[in-house]
Amino acid sequence: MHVPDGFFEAPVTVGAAVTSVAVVSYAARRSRDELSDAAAPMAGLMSAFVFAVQMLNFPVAAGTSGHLMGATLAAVLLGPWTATLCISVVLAMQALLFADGGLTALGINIVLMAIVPGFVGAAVFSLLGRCGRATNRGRAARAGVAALVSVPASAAVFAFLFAWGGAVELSLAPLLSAMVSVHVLIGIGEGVITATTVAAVLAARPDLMRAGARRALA
Amino acid sequence: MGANHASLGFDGAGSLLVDVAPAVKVATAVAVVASVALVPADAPWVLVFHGVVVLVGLRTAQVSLRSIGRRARIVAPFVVGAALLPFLASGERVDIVGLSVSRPGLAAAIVVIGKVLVGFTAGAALVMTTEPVDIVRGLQQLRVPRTFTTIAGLMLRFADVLRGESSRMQIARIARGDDPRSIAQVRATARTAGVLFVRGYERGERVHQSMIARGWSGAMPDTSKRSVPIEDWFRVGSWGAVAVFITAFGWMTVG
Repeated sequence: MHVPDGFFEAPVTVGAAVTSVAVVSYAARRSRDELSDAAAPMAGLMSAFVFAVQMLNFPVAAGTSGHLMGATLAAVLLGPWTATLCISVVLAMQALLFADGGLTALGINIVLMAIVPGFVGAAVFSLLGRCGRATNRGRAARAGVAALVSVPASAAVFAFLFAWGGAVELSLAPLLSAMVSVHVLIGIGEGVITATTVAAVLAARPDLMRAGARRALA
Repeated sequence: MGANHASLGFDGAGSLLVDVAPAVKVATAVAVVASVALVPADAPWVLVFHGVVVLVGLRTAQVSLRSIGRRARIVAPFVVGAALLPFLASGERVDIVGLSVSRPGLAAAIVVIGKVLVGFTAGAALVMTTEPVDIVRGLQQLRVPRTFTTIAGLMLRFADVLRGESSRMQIARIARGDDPRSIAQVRATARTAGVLFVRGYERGERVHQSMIARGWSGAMPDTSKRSVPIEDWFRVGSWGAVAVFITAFGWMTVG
């Protein structure tokens, strides 16, 4: 899923870089409110956890493999702004430490794997929160569904961006359907991991969740 | 933990690059990778120059090309994806050894694969010859915002906590009779991800408390006060300048 260098034309690359610099610097300001002193280890741990989780590749249909993104999990537990900041750090460090994802494609990767899934996940989670039950099981299930939706949503954004300014001319419809259908499968894995992690946090440390969930709803 | 404390990708024993100031290595890698990525699509031959410069540079610095090759499986999905482009892309068709492929698709595939491989090689050389903590220090020296380097530093510290916790949990599972080869392992891994998170958080909390006890004030202390030796900029940074020049030359011939 990490886009390497040279995969997109310059206008998309520059546009995504400008967008992500703007969003991430605003997120850095917003997260100062979200991050109390006690939440600082949470941000560091969340980054490390997402970093670890993204290294788990699992096979998807037709010989391709996918990995988890963790954006919805971070958004549900930390709030979308801090989540954006944490995952941007993860993506930058992956590019610098493992050469995973291109350095010039960092803006695109931040848009696709931090901003879009984080905010889509947080929005779905809070929308479902209005109609669902406020039990622990209900919250974990809502986080899982939000994660499931967030992955194909970001795949769809990739397809639109690639059809608009990818390195190669591809027609949108087949690309969109291929990307979205593969990523629904990845999204199922993402949803299961997100729901079980949220359930474990609710069972053991509900204090962490309450703070994060309130922010996600705000 | 222990011997490989926070040395996620370090594998540069014997390379001359190990002793170069991290700020110079980070800046050079960014310059080379960005230059390669910005090669004009109409002048793919420029990539050959970049490839030669990167290979000669790594040879001079005695970086093991074999280790870089082993790491290259990270980019394999994209190389395979790009190799499919000639078959999927639209436009004029040409016949190559009996296969009908798209001419623009083929040209794009060559450029994309070339850029991915050359860019990856330059990035991998940085990763292999620089400890992760030093990369964060290099970013500090290059005046990257504090918020960013602080989260990155904490992330590296907690990555180690998580790795320790997860190996302890795996040993515990095996001790209780779990068979790591069975398919049930997938389910166990999925279920323990949540537990790993909580356990990691609770250890992370203790790490954080001891950091506060030692005077943590909300940001990583800047331990990169040592100035960057100017000869490092000449010895290593100049390779980055060459890469920038090659791409600029490529754009001049196109435009």
